Amino acid sequence: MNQTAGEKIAGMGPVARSISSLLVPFILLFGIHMAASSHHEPGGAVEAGIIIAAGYVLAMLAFGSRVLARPRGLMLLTCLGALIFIGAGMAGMMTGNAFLTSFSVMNVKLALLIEIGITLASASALLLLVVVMSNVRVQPGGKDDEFESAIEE
Amino acid sequence: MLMNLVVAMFVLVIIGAIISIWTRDLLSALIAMAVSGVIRTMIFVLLGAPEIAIAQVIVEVLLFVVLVRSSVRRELNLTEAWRSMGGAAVAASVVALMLVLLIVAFADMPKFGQPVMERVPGTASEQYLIHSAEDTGNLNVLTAILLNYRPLDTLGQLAILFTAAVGAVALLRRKTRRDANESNSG
Repeated sequence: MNQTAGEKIAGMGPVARSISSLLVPFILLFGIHMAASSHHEPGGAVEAGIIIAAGYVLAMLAFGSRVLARPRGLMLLTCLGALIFIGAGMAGMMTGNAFLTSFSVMNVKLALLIEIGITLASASALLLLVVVMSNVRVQPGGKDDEFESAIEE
Repeated sequence: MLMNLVVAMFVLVIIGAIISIWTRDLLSALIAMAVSGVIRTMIFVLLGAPEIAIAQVIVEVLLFVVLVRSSVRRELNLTEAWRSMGGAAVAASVVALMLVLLIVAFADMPKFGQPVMERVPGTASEQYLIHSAEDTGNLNVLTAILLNYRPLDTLGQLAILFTAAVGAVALLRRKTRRDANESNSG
C-alpha cells in the first residue's frame, strides 16, 4: 500500500479566503447559539453540530491543509461527546432514578450539558466522516501519519 | 393563496428533481438537488414549521452536498444506454400500483392543515403540547420531546452517528507502517 497516498488541499484564492475568514466565525457562533438556545427557539443540538462541522469544512476548503483537523483528535472529541451524554444519563441513576430519566424533572442545566455532548459528538463525527472520506492528507510532520485515510483508486 | 404558492413551489421541487436526474455532471445534479431542497425548506417555513425547515436545510443542503462532494472522488461514468424494456415495464407497473394505493390512502387523510388531535382526541401529541412547558421548562416542544420525554431515542440517534463515524475510520484509514511491513515480509 502506498504510503504517500492521499492529497493535500491547496486552498483557494484570496477572494475565497477573505470571504470565508469573515464568514466562518459567524457560522461557528451561530452553531453555538443554536445549541445553547434550543430550549426556547427552533433548532437542536444535532443541527447545531452539523452547522459547526459545515463551517469548519468551509475553512478547510478555503485555507487548505493548514487548518485540517486530525482524525485522532476528532475521534477523541466524538467519544467525549458521547461520554458526556451517557454520563448525564448515569447521573440520574446515582440519585435513584432510572437511566436517562434525570432530566424528566425540571433540570435545565443537566439538559444543557446533554446538548453540549450531542453537539460535540455530532460535529466531530461529521467532520471525521468528511476528513476520512475525502482522502485528504494531514500536514506532514504530524504524529497521525499512520492514521490517515487512503482510498486506493 | 398560500395553497397556490405551495403547489407552485412543489412544481419547482419536481422540476429540480427531474433536472438532477437528467443532468450528466455530478456537481450540477447536486446543485439541482440542493435547490429543490431549499424550495422545500421555504415550503416548511411558509407552513409554519421552522424546526422542520432547519432540519431540512441542514440535512438536504449542507450535509448532502458536503458529504457527497467530498466522498465521491471522480465524475461518475454515466451509461447512455436505455434500460431494457422489461425492466421499464416492471418499474412503470410498480409506480402505477403505488400511485393507486397512495390515492386510496390519501382519501382517508385529514384535510390540509387539520391537526390529528382534532380528529382523534387524547393523542400523545396533544398531551405533549399541553403539558411539555410545565413538565420540562422547555418552550420548544420538540426539544422537550427529544431530551426530556424520549431521551433513549436520542441516544439511539447518537449511537447511529457514532457507529457511522467509527466504522468509516476503521474501514477507510490507511494501513499502519507495521501492517505494511508485515505484509511485505510475509
